[in-house]
Amino acid sequence: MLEFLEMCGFEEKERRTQQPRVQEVFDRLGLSDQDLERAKDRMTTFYDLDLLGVRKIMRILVKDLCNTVLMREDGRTRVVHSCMAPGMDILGSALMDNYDDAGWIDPNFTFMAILGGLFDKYVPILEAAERQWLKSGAVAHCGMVKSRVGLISLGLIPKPDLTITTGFACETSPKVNELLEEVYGIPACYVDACQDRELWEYPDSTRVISFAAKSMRAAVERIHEVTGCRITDDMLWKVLEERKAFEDAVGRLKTLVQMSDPIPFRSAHLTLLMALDLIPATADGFVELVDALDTLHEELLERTRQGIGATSKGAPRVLGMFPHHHADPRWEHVANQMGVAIVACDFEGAPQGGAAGDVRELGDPYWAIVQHLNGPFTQPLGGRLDIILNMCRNLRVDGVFCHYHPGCRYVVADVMIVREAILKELGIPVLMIEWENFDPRAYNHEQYETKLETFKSMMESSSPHLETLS
Amino acid sequence: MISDRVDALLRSRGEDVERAGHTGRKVVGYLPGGYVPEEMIYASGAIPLCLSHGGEAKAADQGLSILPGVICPFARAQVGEMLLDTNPFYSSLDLLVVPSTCQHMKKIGDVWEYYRGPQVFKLGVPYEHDKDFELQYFRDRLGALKERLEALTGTTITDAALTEAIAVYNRLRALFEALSLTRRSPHPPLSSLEFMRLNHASLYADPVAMADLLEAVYQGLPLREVSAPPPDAPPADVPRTPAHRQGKRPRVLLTGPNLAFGDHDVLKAVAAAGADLVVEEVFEGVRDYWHRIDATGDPLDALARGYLIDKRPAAFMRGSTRKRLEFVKQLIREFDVSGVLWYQLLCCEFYDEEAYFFERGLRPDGIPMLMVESDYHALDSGPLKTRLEAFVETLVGGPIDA
Repeated sequence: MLEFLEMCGFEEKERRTQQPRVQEVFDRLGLSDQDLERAKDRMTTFYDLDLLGVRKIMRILVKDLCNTVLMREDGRTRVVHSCMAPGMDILGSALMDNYDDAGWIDPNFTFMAILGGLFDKYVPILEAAERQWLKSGAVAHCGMVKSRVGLISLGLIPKPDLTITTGFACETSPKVNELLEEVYGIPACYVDACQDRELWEYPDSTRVISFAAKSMRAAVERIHEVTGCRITDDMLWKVLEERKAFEDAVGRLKTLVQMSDPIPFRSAHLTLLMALDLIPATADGFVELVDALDTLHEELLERTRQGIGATSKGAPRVLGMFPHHHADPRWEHVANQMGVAIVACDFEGAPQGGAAGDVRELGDPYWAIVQHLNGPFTQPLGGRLDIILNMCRNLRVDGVFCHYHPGCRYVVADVMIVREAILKELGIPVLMIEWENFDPRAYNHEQYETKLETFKSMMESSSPHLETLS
Repeated sequence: MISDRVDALLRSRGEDVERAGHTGRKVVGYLPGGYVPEEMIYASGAIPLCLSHGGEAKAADQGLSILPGVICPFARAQVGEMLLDTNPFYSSLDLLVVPSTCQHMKKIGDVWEYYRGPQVFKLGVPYEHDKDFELQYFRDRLGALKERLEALTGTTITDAALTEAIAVYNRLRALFEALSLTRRSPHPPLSSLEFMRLNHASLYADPVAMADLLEAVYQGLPLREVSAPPPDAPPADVPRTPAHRQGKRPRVLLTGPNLAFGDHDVLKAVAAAGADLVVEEVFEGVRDYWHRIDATGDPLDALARGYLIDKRPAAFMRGSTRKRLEFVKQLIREFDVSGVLWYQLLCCEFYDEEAYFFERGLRPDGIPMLMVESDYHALDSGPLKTRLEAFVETLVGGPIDA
């Protein structure tokens, strides 16, 4: 355990003080010594542990895992749970900062990164959900909602007093929370937007943002009803300002990764950055996050200066459609091993028409929080396509890695049309890979390797960028 | 024969659509689910068509050329019809109204817009309605739709025209309700197939002509249940008449996400297995008839309230599962139903979630539920036939005579 904590960036004194707490959590999660050995092997295989910044990120995720599991024991006895709820972590930060006895958990990404990425023990959580109303098979329920039901049904996270999710992209997630209410008696609350943007309106999203801001404000009233905790506008402004430093740090890091050749670290780390994004951090937590990211940024900058990276210089550059795999680092690892540099995913595309600069410019904190609706994920097809094409051009990618995640009907419905448009507009290859974004069972090494080989050779023969990239 | 009269009405509608191409009358399609006020299209002078073809593999498979297989076959069929461009109800549209209901339907709007440009109006449907801004949003979007229709048709939609349209469609709903209630009888005078043919026809036919046909059918039924209200009566809130299980054929309720125009194999298969489908509770493809629109006051307010709040909620509405289960239980009592058939399209993930809850919710009442899934391929196959027969046998307590 001590060695594991050291690998995760815990300093010596902290390792001794934290060991019992981490052990308690691992016991509850059913993680054995054998699992710990496997985790250590996987960490050195898939992640750049020689980078202190990576270890600091691991430490933050392990701490978040423990804080989540032990939330009630830590005295935070009124618990709000969110999932598939972008922006809700900001409400969580405000709640955690201002109420010592209330807590907010958004557990999925952290559990996927630790139990999936490190321990390779994520499947039992998915199977627990499949034994209930999220059956396996052709219906292709999303692993993200399975994770939610699995974690709650297995009792791996505290039973929350309220669940919150959004219907920004799908009706599946709200339906899951509705059934959690019916089956487990956990009250459900929803933040919604009407996705009725027409293409001629793009990039203007005023109508959808206005609705979502009102819906989120109403959700805060519901949180007050259930927990007795009132989240004020001032609390939210404070978090938004604290969070700005974190978002800037993430932005600097991503820009460095996107612009470097070779990519300065293994692409599996990109998933860890997404996991950090959803932690409902306290003020101290944001300081730790920024420190970890800035440390990593400095280290990667040095690697870039020295020309060190996860692939050789000039390796074909790829944009992922849909995020990188959250529970299984093999996908990105093997791609890097085969000389394919994954530089970003389309979800990281710059919001169109959103506010930048001072967070208070928008006048209403809820408007500021829901600005993510300007981003590519929830745009109508034509808008999303515009963002993806621009990302391909700006990042000078040689191909697109189209992760076909059947669980997300909202996005997967676009893939064939987007593929055609990329081929027509940019003439670069698009690899369609059907996977489940949150389910390690989707991995088939031989099939994947064969597809990657073909994809790479197509990129090398067709790319206009490979010769000009410097 | 009902089917002959339905066919005649649909032929006539086809001629209307063809004529519209010459006369300049506009044709406005909309997607089903019961959230687009057809009254508004009717009041604009345009021809309203509820696009709801499905049940056959050809169009759904055509949709696979641009949509993946996890998009439900009904949504794929709509895109497939657009691509095939051979069905005049689809190829003649001047505007398509797409409500933001489930993600599959929303994607039809996205894809249609991508290929056909600004022929699409997306009608935002809030998923809850207990807060003022949600009803206001829906009303505002209906106002925007009204303006879009006025610009398209060159006709000002007056309050008087809307009020008249509300009356036309309320009459249609009342007639469907009256016909539906006759099926509470121990010997239903209308089969499920006949009822659904009428209901599906109403999605395309001229509403006045359709209502006249329904009235004639109602008057001509050989057996009308005593308690069935006259066609112009307000919505039923009446206790059911006592059920009498006089025949051997068990009575079954059909529920699920979608029963498309032409998707009749399941109805025939149930009948062939020895059961009577006596009532349907389906989100898309069946015209709602249990509610009315208030014909007094501001018509836009009335439409917003009637379509968002007063109608039965679909599964995509937040917190709707228990309400829908209770409504199904009410229908079970009123129609003396002994089993539920959950008819689901492949990859309809959020109805699939609900099926779990319904099956368990009905169990304490002793009502068994069978789930059947379709991708519009070979629904009349052997395994389904066997499953339905087994289901019917469980309902009657043993094999029944053919």
